Amino acid sequence: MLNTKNKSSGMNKRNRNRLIFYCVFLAFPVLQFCIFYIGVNFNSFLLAFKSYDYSTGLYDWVGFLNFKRVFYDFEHVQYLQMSIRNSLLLYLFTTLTSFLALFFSYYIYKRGPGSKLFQTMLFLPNIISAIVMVVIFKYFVERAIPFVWEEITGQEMEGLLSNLKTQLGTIIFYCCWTGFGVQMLMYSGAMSGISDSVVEAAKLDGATPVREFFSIIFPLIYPTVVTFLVVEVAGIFTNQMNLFNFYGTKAEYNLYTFGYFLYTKIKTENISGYPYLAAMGLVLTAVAVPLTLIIRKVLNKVGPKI
Amino acid sequence: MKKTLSILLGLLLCFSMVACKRDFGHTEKIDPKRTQLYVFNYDGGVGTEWLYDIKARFEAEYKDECFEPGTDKKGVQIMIEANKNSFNADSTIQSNPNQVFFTENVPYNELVSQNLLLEISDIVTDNSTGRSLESRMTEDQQINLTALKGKYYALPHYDGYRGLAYDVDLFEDKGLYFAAEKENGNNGFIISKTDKRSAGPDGKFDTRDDGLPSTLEEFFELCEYMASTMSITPLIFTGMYKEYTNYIIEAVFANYSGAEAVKLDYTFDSEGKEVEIITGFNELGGDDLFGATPIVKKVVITPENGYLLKQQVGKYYGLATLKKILSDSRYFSKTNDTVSHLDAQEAFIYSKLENKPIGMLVDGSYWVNEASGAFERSIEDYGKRAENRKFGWMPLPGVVSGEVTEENASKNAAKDMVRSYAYINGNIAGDENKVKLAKLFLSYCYKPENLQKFTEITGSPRGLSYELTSENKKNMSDYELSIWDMHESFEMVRQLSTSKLFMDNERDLLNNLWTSTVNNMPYSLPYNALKGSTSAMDYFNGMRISKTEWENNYKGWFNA
Repeated sequence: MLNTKNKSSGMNKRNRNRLIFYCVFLAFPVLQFCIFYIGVNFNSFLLAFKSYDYSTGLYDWVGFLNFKRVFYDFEHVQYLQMSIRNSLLLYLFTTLTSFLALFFSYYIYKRGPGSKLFQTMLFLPNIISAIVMVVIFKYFVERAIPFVWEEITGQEMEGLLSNLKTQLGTIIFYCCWTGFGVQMLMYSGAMSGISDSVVEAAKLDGATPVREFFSIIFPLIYPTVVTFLVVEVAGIFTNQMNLFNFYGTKAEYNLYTFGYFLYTKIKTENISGYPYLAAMGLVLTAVAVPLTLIIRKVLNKVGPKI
Repeated sequence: MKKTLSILLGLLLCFSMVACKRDFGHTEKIDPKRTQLYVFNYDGGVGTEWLYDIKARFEAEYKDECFEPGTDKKGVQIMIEANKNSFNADSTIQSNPNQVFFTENVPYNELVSQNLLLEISDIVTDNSTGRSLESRMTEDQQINLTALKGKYYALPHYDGYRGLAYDVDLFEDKGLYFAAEKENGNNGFIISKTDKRSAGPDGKFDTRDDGLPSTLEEFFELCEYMASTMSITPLIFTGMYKEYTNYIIEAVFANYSGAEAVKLDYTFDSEGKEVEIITGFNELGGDDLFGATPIVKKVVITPENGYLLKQQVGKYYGLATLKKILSDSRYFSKTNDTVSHLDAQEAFIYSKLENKPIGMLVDGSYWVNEASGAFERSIEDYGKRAENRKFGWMPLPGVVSGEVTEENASKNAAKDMVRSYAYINGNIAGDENKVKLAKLFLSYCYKPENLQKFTEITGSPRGLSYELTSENKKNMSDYELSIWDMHESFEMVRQLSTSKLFMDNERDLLNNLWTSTVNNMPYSLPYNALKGSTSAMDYFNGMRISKTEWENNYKGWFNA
């Protein structure tokens, strides 16, 4: 009896010490989370209903005035309509790239000729600094391609970024290309986790590589695919399309995405503009959250069952 | 093992916090025997040499003074942080270690409204040197700087002009000046260097601008003469920062419309005076330089009809000038997104040396400071030929065509797009000693002799009224003297006003001055539209905004 008591009080002491350790260990990140996530977002939420007064230096409550302006702007301001178009276009192309990355990953998983080289080369843009990559890419599309074109055809050619007609396509290509490596790495990682015996059994049953991909590999890594697709939906309104790296705050309106619009506005707008941006953020969240949940539910429902 | 791991984790956590310590960018070692004053300088167009010069003299002058009573510290050490990257704005000032700032793009009213700046009315109004800094300001500066709280919180730092710099040596060698005698058999250009030159944009003979184009028509005659007869590329500009092309538009607009009209973009009140706006175009006008003749109407501007300012005549001529330049590929050096302003400056400097001359550079008046490295390289590469180069500032004409006299000459106005100010950080307000020292240093920087010295070193004028001595002028280049002439003869319009509509929507209004929608395509930069098939007229028409849009955009103000 005595022994049990001692044991239980010993356990309690140990538990208490552990609890203190965990509390101390977690205090800093939790505090940081409370201030920089909960506090900031709560403040942004309130800000959407306020307006800044220069003479007093204070914010006043204005009800839904900022929201009214956001909805008015959605209807009348052309670059916001462009932002919707570009954000959706970017989503479409990154989603298509996801599927392309799946096939590439499968090729790497199957250890096809040159797969290691492809893996390294395609992952390279993710290792090199984004600004360096943008500069290299700029020189490539603004100098190298026009130079080669002129050498071949003898005709002058405008750089792909200087030309308004090719600008958007070029930047979307850049985003897909630089995002390709991460997806490929994740997919090939997920594929390598598949038990060899499953694949061997399929082979013994006479499955071709195509059949193997669609009937074995894809269903088994489907949760990873869903994760990527859902994350991309959630990022529709935050993806900047690397525009800041390309143009700073001076990108032309025809390239705007919502992510870029919000980011540059924060950088270029004065304090009286913040409430409007907070209202727009809330409106976009109101669209993005249900959309993300619906897409996740649909993908989980329609996907292959193992 | 667990203990070791805990200690390691704890240490790691400490290191992560240590990593948060900011590197303030002050390179000088702290001298514990002196009091430190931390000064931030935006190391852009005017560089930092001028500040090091003042630092040396200030430290020497106050080397025996104690700024921290109760300690044995004597003298002061000016700790300079100079860079272009850590430009401090808004609330970041509050936590910034720097106490005095010389910087650009200052949202003055915003900072004042948030009590981020220290009040400096005492040093602005002090006239112990015989003339107060306040009296060196224009009336507009005095009114606008005190608009929000009735007190001064900043001093104008430097005036930067934006437009065209030209290669004086090239112009002299090739005779690219207009002659006083138009019918001289050489398309109106001088035949020999001794020929009398035309009066230039100011309509007065024997001034620095003699022989330069006095009308936009002459400007394009010059471009054509350069391109077709002399094999000179008239212009070069950066393709990376396309907004530089706006400098041409803004300069033509300002010189055509004059300071009073340009100011309206910030005041929205013409105080009963009439302003010219365009209501339409006669597209088949025939002989107009730009293909379409504007139909002009005069209106009085008030905040309620401020949207009409988008239709100012000068704005159209600014756009039309850029369009005409971009329409002829012989008029500008080929550019793309990889050509930075520094590349353009270097190409401009080297062009004459490499016998592929370029006549004019689109840039800010301070470009020579930014290009100091390129000048040095050109001397290394070309020796004596590259030394003592002469450049000048070309005032863009504000008259479309015809004979220019003193009466109808360009209106000599410029827009301050640099918004450069000097101020003291409001976060030292509680430290009496620091406040005293910061104010002493700031007022020292603005002593008459230091205003002069600043211009002598940087070639840029402070945004105040003062004289230069002949000694100062002797130490300045021709180019710097041409900038000083601008300061003396041009009225600078600053992006400040007492208008509540402007204050409440300052950046929105400033960012959208030249936005337009053409064929359902929105543009933020005229260059992007005008380099294609869009005409200046279409772009101008696309800038128009309706009364409803105006009221909706600035609802907060109209409901107030």
